[in-house]
Amino acid sequence: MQVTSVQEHERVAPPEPGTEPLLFPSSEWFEALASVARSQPERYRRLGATEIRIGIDVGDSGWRVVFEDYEVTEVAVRHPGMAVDCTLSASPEDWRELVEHIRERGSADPTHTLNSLVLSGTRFTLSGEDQLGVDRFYRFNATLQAFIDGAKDVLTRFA
Amino acid sequence: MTTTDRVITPADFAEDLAKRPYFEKLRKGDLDLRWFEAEPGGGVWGTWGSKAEPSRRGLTLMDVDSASGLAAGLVGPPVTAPRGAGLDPDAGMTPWEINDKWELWADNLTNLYEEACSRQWNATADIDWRHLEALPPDMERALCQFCTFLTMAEYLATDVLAPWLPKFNTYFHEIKLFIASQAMDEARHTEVFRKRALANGGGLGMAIALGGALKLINAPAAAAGRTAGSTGSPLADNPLFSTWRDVSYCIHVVFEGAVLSIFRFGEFLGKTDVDKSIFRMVMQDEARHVAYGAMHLKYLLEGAPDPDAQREDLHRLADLAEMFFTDLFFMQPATVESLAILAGDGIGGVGAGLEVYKDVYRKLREEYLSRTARAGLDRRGRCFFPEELPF
Ligand SMILES: [Fe+2]
Ligand SMILES: [Fe+2]
Repeated sequence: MQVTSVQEHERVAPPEPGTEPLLFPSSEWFEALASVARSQPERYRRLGATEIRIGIDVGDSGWRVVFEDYEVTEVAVRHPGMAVDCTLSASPEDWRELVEHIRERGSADPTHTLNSLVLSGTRFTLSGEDQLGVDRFYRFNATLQAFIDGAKDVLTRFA
Repeated sequence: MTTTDRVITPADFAEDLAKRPYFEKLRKGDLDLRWFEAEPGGGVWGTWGSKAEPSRRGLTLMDVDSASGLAAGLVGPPVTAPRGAGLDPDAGMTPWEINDKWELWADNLTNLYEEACSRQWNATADIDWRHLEALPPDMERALCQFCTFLTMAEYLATDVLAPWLPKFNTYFHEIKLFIASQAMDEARHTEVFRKRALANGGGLGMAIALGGALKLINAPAAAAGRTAGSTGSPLADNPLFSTWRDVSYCIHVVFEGAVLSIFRFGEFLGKTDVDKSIFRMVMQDEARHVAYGAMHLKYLLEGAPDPDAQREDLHRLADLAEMFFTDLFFMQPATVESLAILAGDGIGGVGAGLEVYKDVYRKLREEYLSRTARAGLDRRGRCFFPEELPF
């Protein structure tokens, strides 16, 4: 297992070629991000079993991404009362900067990893009602980082 | 070799074996077969007919438990046997020190062991060492000091936890397996920090003196009726580590809760992809250890026969543990300063770095308070982690 984000990994099947840029944020965009992850089953198997329901809030809009075993099993628009272990939130502008950065560099640089962004706590926040749910963000952090780094393969346009 | 009453040679031993009644019978074709002929469930043979099916992850202990119906009960019997096995009629009773489920269990324990196995990594090959980048000399020196400190801190976890393995009843294999996996995790952490210190032109720095922390613990310990022994070993004498409840609270909840935050800080401070990846991987392992500690605390407070007494005792323990680890971690000049230099992007920015350090400390304290409250031990209002660090 190569855990550094700069490494290329084997792919069983390439993600959808996606000639049309997908709007960020949208369900289609997060589905495409999940497809990138699903196209690298060996990488995710070696990162290890993952059990987390993570909320991703982009301004006033939110999604829930569920990881079970070695894969993403659900991407859904978030509704009130939908259970999550923890939530990653930032403004649309800050998410845009992160996504553009990953697309340009190929992976998050040291100032843009998810943990760095939420630890500095100025633009991105990590929250949750239950600390043990928040702790899952740390327990499965390499998987979550690999997931967001997959944005490099999602052709993206912004509103 | 010498036994108590005679010198025994290899030939003597072989002769003794050959004279055993079982082998005399076996030479005549008379098999024992008690295990083979025993009725399942009759005491000698355990169970029969279990056909566990793999789930998506593979064949997990959870799959085996649900197929066999051999989930853990409340008490382990005084025998040396895997849960569900029968017993050789000649086997005697074996007392274990820790036999009650409430003393060791956590509802996520089986899952956490499977997670530990699934998320193992390799400090030799999984870190992209060839892409280490040079850091400015003051930053490299600070990172090497931090890694030296962490190399030592990892020993604390293994050295305290591992001696408890033979105390758990074999009936609760989950705790034995999980703590063994944790020992492997901590070994890998020591390994990766040692390698990092020696891989980028720096080296191992100053081993910190633990004397201050150990001295601090002994004064209030005596006041609380906890007295240190006299073996001369700081770990064995430490009154924080006298029962599994205390060990788990001090190591998994207080110490590793702080280490988890420190690793998050290390990931945040890393200036290169390689340093980031090191801290990201150790962070995951550490969060698993903390997850056991918090859920075990919850199980204990809900399942112990005397929860109110347990809670009060744990509060007294927490008072001491918080003081001990405050001194061990946050008051060590070499730790404070190395992290502040890293956070301030060099020795010139150490003032700003100290402010970052204090900010991370506040988050660490808040997470500890949230975690313990969630587990049923509300430390708000009586926590000995100072609200603010004294600088
Ligand atoms: Fe560790
Ligand atoms: Fe640990």
